[in-house]
Amino acid sequence: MGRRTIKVDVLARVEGEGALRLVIEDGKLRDAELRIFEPPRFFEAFLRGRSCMEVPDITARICGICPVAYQMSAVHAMEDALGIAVTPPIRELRRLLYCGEWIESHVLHMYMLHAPDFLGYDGAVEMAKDHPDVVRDGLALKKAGNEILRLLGGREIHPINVRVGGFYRVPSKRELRELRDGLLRGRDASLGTVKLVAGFEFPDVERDYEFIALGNAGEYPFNAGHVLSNKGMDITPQQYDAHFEEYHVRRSNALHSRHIGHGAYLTGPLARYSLNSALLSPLALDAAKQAGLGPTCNNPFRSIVIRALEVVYAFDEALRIIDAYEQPDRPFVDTPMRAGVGYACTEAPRGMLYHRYRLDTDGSVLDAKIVPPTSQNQPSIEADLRDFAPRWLDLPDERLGHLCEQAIRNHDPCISCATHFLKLDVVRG
Amino acid sequence: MHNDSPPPLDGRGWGEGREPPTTVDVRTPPPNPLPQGEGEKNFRRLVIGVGNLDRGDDGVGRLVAQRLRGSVPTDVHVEEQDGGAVELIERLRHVDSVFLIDAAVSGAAAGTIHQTDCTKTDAMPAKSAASSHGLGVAEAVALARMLHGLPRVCMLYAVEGATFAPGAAMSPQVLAAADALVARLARELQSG
Repeated sequence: MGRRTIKVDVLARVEGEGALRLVIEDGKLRDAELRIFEPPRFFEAFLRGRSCMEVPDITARICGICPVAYQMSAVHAMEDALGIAVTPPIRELRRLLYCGEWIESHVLHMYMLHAPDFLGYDGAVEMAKDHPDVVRDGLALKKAGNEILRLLGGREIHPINVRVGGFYRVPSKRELRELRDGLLRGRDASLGTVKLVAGFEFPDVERDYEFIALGNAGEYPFNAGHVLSNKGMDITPQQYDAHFEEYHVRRSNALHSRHIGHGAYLTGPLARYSLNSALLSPLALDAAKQAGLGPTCNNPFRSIVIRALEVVYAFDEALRIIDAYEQPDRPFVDTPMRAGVGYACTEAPRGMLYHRYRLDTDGSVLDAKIVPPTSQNQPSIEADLRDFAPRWLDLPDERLGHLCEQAIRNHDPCISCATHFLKLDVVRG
Repeated sequence: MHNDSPPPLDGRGWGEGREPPTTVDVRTPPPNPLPQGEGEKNFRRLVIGVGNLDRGDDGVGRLVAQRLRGSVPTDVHVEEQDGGAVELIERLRHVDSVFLIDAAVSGAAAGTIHQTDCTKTDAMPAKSAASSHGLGVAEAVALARMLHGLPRVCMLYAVEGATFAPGAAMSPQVLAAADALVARLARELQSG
């Protein structure tokens, strides 16, 4: 047969710039590489010397899709370093803000980036020609998430209201109540999304992933909990560095991560769901049952179903928080500066996001470490390709390339975040 | 099976000879209980400058919007966007006229102003290949046209850029084109 190369020079419908290269020799897959060439962004370096109070707003700029995740991991890490605890209403408002981001981000990925794969279109624009109602539904759902961000974050993208110790301003009960009707309609519509995506055809593949997600906090995880593995690990975010390490691979401007002594692992919807599904709301659990999902899920192509379930949960949780809300007397607690090291993990829509900061006595940043979910998932994404692509080698290059791109999109990689990614290259020989 | 109607919503497409899924009937999507959006502001006319001010000539649309602000009739709202298509689609609803200003790369001389009447010309590139970060003005216009139709007037002014490097200053040709476009739009908006 000879050598066959399939390359996707710029991967479409992923967040950021990257490429995929498959090398096939004599009918066998020799190599599958995900290359990330989006330039490094040096956030960790230019945070040095800045006040810890500035960090949530600076790190929010890492991503236009999941700025809340960066803000949440940053404020929790700073509060850990400063030894302060926020009040219960502030904690609840932060969960509410995260609900808004999960809705926005998951809906954008499901409807605009991932659904075209399952429905056989090049993109959302082409899909909209045949299925305008599907795209319209997606845009309306996303708007409901935007409303939460607009109220709690001050604006829809790169919110500016999150503060170390709390928020700069907290909403009144009445302001939150005004979100209620839109969220109720969104929750109903999100059940329709589950029904839609559960009907897609999924390749019958599974992998024995090591799932890593937050958990053991008595709630479906957003911004609290231990770092758990389905292979038995249970640590605090403060212990993260002892268990995980980043390493550089030549083909990627994003660092890869591994679980020391174990290797590649997966974070994100599959991991969160498989470690925490029992903690979903009754409505989301019922929707999971209707969608045919058990308590865990090892088929990454079904991640779109889990995103849909997490959107149901996010609407449900947002309504719970709004109904129970009592406006706190103060929007934030005091933040006396001190030297220290702070750690936090929170659940960005696409996976766990780790921040660590070392602060000087005046609260300025001495060093920073940010490990985004895509860095953590990149080895597993490549392992997916090495495992799945050999089953598809008889397919024409275009179909093979498309399935491989879809396998990457399963994990909603955010290359912009991870570079501190896409292009498909299939070499057949 | 036939090819002249949309494939069913099960991702299998037509003509592959497979049965549709039996567990969930998705061929008739559930009705969407959400309202399809109301206009956020009741301005009759909208000027939207699109771009990134930190990427050289990419910021020209926003520069034009900034210079127009304060010198337009009261029924005109001037706003800036960073180019997120999803947000832009919603802005193309419930207004009579929209004037979009963006940067372009077509190979023309830097500073060339390309004017496109979106209601008459499909400004959509042949194939979209973009992340949501990269879904641009053309895709937003194409989606808006399919989803809810375009405003009565929908003009796109695209200024050919020369440099898009992070942190770069705008090129002199693009700055000159911005001046010319501000004067032209101010006149057109005044004449209603």
